[in-house]
Amino acid sequence: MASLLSSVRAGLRSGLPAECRSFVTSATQPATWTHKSLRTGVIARKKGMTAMWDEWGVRIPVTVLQLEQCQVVQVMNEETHGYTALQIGSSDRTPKNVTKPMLGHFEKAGVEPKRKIFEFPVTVDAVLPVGTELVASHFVPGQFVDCSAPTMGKGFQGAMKRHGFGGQPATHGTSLTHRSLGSTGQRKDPGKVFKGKKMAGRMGGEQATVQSLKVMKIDNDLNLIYVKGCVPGVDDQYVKVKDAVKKRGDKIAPADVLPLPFPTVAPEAVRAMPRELVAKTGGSDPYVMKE
Amino acid sequence: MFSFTRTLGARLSGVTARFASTATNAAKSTYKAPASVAVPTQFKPNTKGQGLMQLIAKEEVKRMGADGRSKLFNKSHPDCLRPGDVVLVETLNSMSADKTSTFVGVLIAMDRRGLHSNFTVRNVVLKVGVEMKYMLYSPMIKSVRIMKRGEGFRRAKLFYLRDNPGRAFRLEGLVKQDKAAQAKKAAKSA
Repeated sequence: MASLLSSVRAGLRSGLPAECRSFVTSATQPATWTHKSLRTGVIARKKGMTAMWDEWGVRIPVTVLQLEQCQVVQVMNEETHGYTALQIGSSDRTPKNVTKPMLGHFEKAGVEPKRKIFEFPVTVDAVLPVGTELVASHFVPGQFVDCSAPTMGKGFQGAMKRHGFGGQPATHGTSLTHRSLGSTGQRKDPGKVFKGKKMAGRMGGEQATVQSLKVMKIDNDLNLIYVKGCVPGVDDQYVKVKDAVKKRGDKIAPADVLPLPFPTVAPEAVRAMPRELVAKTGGSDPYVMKE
Repeated sequence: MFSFTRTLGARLSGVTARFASTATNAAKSTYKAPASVAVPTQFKPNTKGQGLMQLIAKEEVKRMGADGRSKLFNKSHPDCLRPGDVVLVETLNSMSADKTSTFVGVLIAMDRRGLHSNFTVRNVVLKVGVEMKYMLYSPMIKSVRIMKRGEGFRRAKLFYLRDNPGRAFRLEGLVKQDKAAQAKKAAKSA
């Protein structure tokens, strides 16, 4: 690995762009997508929300997700680990703040130390070499993605907010018990409260996945993905973004942008693209009455 | 021991990587967008001195306000809208046809929110008070014309006109005058 790293660095000094290192040094052939293939996801940061207008003049709320130095850190394979997955790292970190075990882990991969690491299960044909950088154009405008992130913390909340309970009447004699749980069980049989009984407690801060969000825009310079709608969590949160599981095969994206870049987009393709690409909503004009 | 350095070179991502070589620009012109993808007006991002969200909001304002509608909300511009002005807003009925709808009224509220800037116009139509709220940068807005400057309005929000309209919504004469003036202009130019 040390020789590989030094050869890469030698190549850098000679002017070879670093982004080619994963494609130059590995012997992978460009793989073809099959209906059973599963691409990797990426780790992005939720940057905030804004709005845009589509080609029909409809205003669409979008969430801006930014990819920050998103690279493959480790490949899990069937022989050694028993399953196939890619370990993706995001957001470079100064080595002085990283523990020695983790420093060794990143040095083995030849990547800078990362803040966040997640695994994405993939099929064998979608495996990428260690060090490959994932960019925004891994997704195409018009495709559907799933976004997972920890939700915003809400603190200690009552059952009405936490579980949607109905509470008690506001008037008609109800005394001091307007938002309480009410009954928690039966009587002598079973004579106990079941485990997992919905009660008041800490709400939020758990992982949630919002499915089938449409990618409205890709920004290749700033590495941004604009998805239509809301994404769980606070701003600057790390979000796992992957292809929508409920839109398999031809439904994942409009026909003219299929097939999706597989296993990921090639650097030459990214360089050829303009900076921003916007998805058209398509269909018919919603402001024209259908006969 | 761990002689890790941060000199792994330029990345695929980032502005510098993409604008580095002239070969990039040559390659860019060969890109052909598929039918379901639109290529909007491109800007070169300048991330210096501002955060990401501020940058993309500014760029979107530049893109959507290319016809100069930002001047309507710019206080230092002589053509700026002011609460109390009588305005005529022309909106497209749909993006696929050229038909427009017109609404005349008194500007009672302006909200400056960058890309989401909006204004509210009120009129009394057939004895019914009607308020229309328009997003300034919406592509459905064709034009906003000031028919008469407001005088004597000393507030930023004129919501009191809902209860105390006074003579504020007697606009028929103004509309007639304006129509005549427009017809004259059209005749002159023809």
